[in-house]
Amino acid sequence: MPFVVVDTSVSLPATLSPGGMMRRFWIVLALGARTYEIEYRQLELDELSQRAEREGGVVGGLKEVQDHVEEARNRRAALIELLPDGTPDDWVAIGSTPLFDEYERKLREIGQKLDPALRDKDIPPLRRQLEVVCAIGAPSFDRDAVPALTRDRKDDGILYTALLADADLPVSDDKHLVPDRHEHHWEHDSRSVVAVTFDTLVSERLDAANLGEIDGSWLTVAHG
Amino acid sequence: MATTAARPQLLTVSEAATLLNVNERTIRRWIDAESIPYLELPGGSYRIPQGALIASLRGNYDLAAELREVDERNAELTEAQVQTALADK
Repeated sequence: MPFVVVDTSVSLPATLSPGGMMRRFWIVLALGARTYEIEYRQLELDELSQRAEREGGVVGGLKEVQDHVEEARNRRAALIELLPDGTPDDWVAIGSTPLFDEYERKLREIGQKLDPALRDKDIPPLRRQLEVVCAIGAPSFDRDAVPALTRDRKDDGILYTALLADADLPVSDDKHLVPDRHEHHWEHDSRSVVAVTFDTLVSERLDAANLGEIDGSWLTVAHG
Repeated sequence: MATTAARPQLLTVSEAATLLNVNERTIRRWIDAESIPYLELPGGSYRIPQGALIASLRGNYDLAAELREVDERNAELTEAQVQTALADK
């Protein structure tokens, strides 16, 4: 199960451009999110119940989770019906507050340029398109305590998300994260990750032909 | 294979609101409506599982309709155009 952290150089094209290759990768991540939800949501509920037993608390909202898991099962089945044989269903994206905030910040920067009619109220729905593909979150961390890792401070939070979550791959076309435009090994505090560009990911870790058969509009199927 | 990523994270109401960039009142409203899972601790504070919180967005918003609207607006927008806009910044 590859865990990935996707930065804005990939997540913005994936969410904004319905016909691109990055959108197709996004659908693979949406499928992975549904698979992960079906297989691992129970872990979170167990954690809640154990904590309630230890500390005497009360657990609520479980019915909704069970409904979500059932819905995830239906969404996953509907997507698999459409996707080409061999599409991986175990790629899982990791999210964090700095990752989501950086997406929103960049979207505000370039949004008006791409669509002069873009309004403030159009931003949250786009942010949600990123959030919902991230099946799991990195451990919370203090943004001010993020070590200087790259040449761009804004990229440090994204790389730190990947390191802290033991991600397998940060995926980025940003020159600060992948300086040689292929892949880059990052290490900090005995943790390490290999950041790859989107092209490297597709050519070396995914089946490009398979990805090419995916229709970007199928992302709605993942959501229901 | 990664291990930390699979470990469940429990968030406070404030952390949950920050993660999704919504008001804390929104998180409390979802708790009251039992539309997200939560643990209420004896002191009255809450803990919310992060993954289930994100998954609950599908129940609390019509994400498919939101996506259709975005895609209709951006039907002609190419990946290269987005990348150029990003590179110009």
